[in-house]
Amino acid sequence: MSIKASGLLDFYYSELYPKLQELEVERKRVLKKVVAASVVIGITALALLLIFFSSSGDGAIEISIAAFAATAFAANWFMTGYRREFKKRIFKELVAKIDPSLLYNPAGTIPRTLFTMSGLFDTDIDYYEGNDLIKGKIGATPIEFSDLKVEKEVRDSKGRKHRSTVFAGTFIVTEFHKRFHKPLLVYPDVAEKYFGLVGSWFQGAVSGKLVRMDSPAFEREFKVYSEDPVEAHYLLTPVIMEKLVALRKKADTPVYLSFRFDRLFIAIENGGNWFEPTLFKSLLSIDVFKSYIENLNLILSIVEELNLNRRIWSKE
Amino acid sequence: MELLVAIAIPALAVVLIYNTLISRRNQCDNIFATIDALLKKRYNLIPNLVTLLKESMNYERGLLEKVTELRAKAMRPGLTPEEKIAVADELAKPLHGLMVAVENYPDLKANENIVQLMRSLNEIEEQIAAARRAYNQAVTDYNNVREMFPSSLIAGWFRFESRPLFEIPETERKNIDIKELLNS
Repeated sequence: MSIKASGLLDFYYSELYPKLQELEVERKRVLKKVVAASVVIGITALALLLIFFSSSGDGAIEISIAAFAATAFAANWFMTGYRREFKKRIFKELVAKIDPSLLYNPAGTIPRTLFTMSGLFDTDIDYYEGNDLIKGKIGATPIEFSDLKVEKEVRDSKGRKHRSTVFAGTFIVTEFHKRFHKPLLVYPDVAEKYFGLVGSWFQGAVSGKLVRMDSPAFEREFKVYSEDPVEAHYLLTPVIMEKLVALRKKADTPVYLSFRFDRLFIAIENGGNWFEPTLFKSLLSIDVFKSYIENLNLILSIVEELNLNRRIWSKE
Repeated sequence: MELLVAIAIPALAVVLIYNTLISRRNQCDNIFATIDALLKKRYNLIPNLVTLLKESMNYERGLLEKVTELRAKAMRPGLTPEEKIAVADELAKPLHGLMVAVENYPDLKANENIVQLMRSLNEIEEQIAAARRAYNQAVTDYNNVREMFPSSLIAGWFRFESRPLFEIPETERKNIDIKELLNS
């Protein structure tokens, strides 16, 4: 499936633009509130600093962090209604236009069990949330994805608790059309240098050995772990490797893959804001609209690009 | 003490390099064993295929006979790895020819057994192609260690022989398109 941008442009101007104009008024109102709140918070923080800590300077970092957190909280709070309206009136319509068979649930999320099943990330987590669940079938292949924010609580050297991100981005689950027996994990190559440190996090998950693949371009971007090098080459055909390199470059952010339990899991570490309404940029900008389409297209075209609808093997 | 260290360190290096060479060579052997097993699986499907096709095919007698003959050749015991691959390559061509020829016979295309067999064959063909790619990668890794200094010295002392890469024939590189066949 490939999305026809020209058809969508007509749809954009005739159906969405009037609604976007209304929402743009709302966005400006929200932005004003956020700016006002941050000014108030900033002045308060500064005053606190001057009053209590002018002598020692202790706690300056804590106050800055608190002010920053308060601003983020306020922005999130003010955006709630605006975000909800955007998703209901704009994004939902866009998804339905692209493919009426897709189900969109703004509050939905990929089940935690699927996240765990992928074996890609640390499963000892404390916070699991997500939104923008899209579910459907492309040809014969079921696909579902949502944005996820997965965090765990860690203590720093001073014993203070804070949240550390395990994964933040779009998480995709689809069916893989070939039979396989051993899990296969594909990590971005940059992760390798952290492996010593976080290796224990992936307890059991990265049980396979590093497999060298026969594509230099692929090897530059990814590292493959599997216990069966033959099966790794069977799943990662030259065509699929080429497409994955292209996907990684188009997404312009780290991409993780896992072949486990007859499924293909793809995690795009984009921060999870591909489908959020803008705050600082105008909603009426055509580039903003295009980026929503491009990102949706990138995900929905995976099934076709990787040829997942091809059913010529013994697995039906 | 110094003397002990002066002996121990080089000895340790030799052991490590030797073990690396062994593990790389075993990796090649393991993958070759997989190729061998897959080829056997392919050969086991052939009699069934020939029987199913023989009745309906009039113009492909030559191909059917060639496939049967090469299968017999491949099943002979005591073939060297190079011979095994050579026969497999020779067999690939008429076999693919047969798979494509099925296209011209509507009654064959409608036969559930044949469709199932085609799916299995196709799967094995892809597995063989993948195994050969994996084998070549393993041989490259092995040859690299064998040829690079200082491991080349140890490879020389212990007579680690160079391994040839298997050429991936064009017929295996691209998948024959039996998608149409299965869709119809």
